[in-house]
Amino acid sequence: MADVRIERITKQFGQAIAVNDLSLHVRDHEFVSLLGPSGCGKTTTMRCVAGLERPDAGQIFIGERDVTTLLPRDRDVALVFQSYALYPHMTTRNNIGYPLRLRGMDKPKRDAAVEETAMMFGIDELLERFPRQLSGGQQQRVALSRAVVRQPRAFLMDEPLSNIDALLRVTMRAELKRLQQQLGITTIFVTHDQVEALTLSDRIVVMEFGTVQQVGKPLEIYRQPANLFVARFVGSPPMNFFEGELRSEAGETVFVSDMLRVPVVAPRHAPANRVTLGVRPESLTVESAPSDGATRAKIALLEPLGYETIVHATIGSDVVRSRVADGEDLAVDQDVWLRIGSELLFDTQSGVLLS
Amino acid sequence: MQPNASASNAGKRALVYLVLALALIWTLFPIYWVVVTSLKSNAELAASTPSLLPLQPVLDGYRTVIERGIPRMALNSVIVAVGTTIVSLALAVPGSYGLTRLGLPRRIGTPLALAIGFALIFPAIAIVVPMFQLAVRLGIYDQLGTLILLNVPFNAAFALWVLRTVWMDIPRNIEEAALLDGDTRFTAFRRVLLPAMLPSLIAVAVLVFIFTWNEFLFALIFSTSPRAMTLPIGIAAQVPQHELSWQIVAAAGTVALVPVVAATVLLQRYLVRGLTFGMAK
Ligand SMILES: Nc1ncnc2c1ncn2[C@@H]1O[C@H](COP(=O)(O)OP(=O)(O)OP(=O)(O)O)[C@@H](O)[C@H]1O
Ligand SMILES: [Mg+2]
Repeated sequence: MADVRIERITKQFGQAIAVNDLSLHVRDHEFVSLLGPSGCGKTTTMRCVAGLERPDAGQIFIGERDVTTLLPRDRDVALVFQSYALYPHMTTRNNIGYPLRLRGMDKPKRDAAVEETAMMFGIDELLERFPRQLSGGQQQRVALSRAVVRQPRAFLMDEPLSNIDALLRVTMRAELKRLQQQLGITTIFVTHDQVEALTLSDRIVVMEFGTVQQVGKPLEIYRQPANLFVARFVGSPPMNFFEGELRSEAGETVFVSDMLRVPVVAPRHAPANRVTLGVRPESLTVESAPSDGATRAKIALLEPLGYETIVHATIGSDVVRSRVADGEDLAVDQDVWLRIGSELLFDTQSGVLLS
Repeated sequence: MQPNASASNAGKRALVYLVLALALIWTLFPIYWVVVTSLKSNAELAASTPSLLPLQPVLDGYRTVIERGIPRMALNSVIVAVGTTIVSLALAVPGSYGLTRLGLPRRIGTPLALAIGFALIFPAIAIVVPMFQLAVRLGIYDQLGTLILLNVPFNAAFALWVLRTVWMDIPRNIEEAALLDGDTRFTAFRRVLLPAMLPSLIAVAVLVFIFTWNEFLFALIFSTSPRAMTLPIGIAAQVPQHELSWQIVAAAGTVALVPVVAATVLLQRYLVRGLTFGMAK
């Protein structure tokens, strides 16, 4: 096991820059997710670490070793592909045992290791089957077994859960978490599913356009998004945004927009011209009677989810979303008053978090 | 509703079987007829109403065929067909791999593939005469090796064209998984990719073998003596000689059928899987 250090790598495909001067340090035993929209360079970053892609610039270290120019086989990392990439002409046993065979392990030892790993994933009954005789979820476990069995220095997973159905995905998610805690293998996990990232990771790397937008613990990313992109990308339903400016009124700082007047904590950095106020849906409470500091709105849509209700309300022409625990007494077209619990301030121009 | 449905199902099934039976007769009857004819006596062949089975099977036809050197020609055919298959695949397997996996830019890869595809539709007759002159000039006329040399371009192009689509159907990730598991590019090719495409490879090999086995034009022009004459020429030569003997022609034809039928039966499993060329998984 080892840490993985990515130092200022850049990878271009023709004119397109897939990864742009990206640095990242994944510590030993750590589970780090790369999260970002499609095409932001997650897969490319991972393929550079695996050695399937050679970066145009920058260096990659696994442990103390500079692996930038090494072949994939000399890096001792395992990659689980989204498509599983099982060898179609080999049984489960031979698929899982293949990396061990290439390391020259003799058959009895190999079989023992394969069986132990297969047991761990509950596929010991399927050892003599071929990939085409397995369901998607089973193939996925074979792919994971093949990666685990050789005890690599680092584990790379490119959206390993995206090809299986929603129900199984939840089970596999828990299983992955348990596995990683048990084995403690340094893991880089690619996903564009934020729930996966938030639940599994020690730290999350949010990416856009081939660059890192923020690195942090899941709750940090959620509570203190470094900029508007991260704030917008993480969280579902997404954060509400209001554009306006800060004013000083009687020694207090107040955010003012067309529709809103909200007293806020003065940001440490001097605010630029325009600012954007961000409010998580759960920080926006819905009240049925007017009170001081609450803003009048009209309910446009209700989404009852059982354990909570998503309220879509309009303030002027803006639509805001709020999540409330019980929304039974709410009705569409009803007038309500919204109160902001906690908020974040961003510089509208640069997108940087001010608070 | 149940009885009705099953009745119409039975009707449908009967129709399917009827069509299949007709197709089988259509394809198998000529083969049957050649074999039966080769075993009939000349007297029986002269009868005005042919019988479905030989009344008294005789081996005269085969005896004559042996006397006229057909076995030697069959051996020549085997050598040419096997040689062409080996050389063609030896070229087409790495060629198709390179064309699909080495990351050639589109503007090079596509014209290259098209040029190879062109070899498939190029009429052989157009090059026969210059090739013939060349062969005479080089003194390689009337040799088995020359026939192999002449058969390879078309067949290698055919194999390459087909194997190219086979490679494109094998996910790149499989090769990459092998590289990460500890293979080099070459050992991944040998241990993972080749076995994964083996059914298609066998199917292509059988097709190339059959094409070459049946090849007529080059064999006719480029071989004059028995040492380089192949079976199709030998069989054709039986037709106008002296009197036309169906018995002999049929016996030679039966000899020519043996390897084709044998290959089809023995490798049927691969042919069915491989001939879809990965289209439906
Ligand atoms: N082999 C390639 N050739 C050309 N462009 C490529 C290649 N691989 C990736 N790209 C481009 O690089 C960018 C980053 O791609 P990448 O696959 O890393 O994105 P991703 O974050 O994994 O996206 P997704 O979530 O859709 O998998 C994209 O714009 C993509 O079009
Ligand atoms: Mg990707």
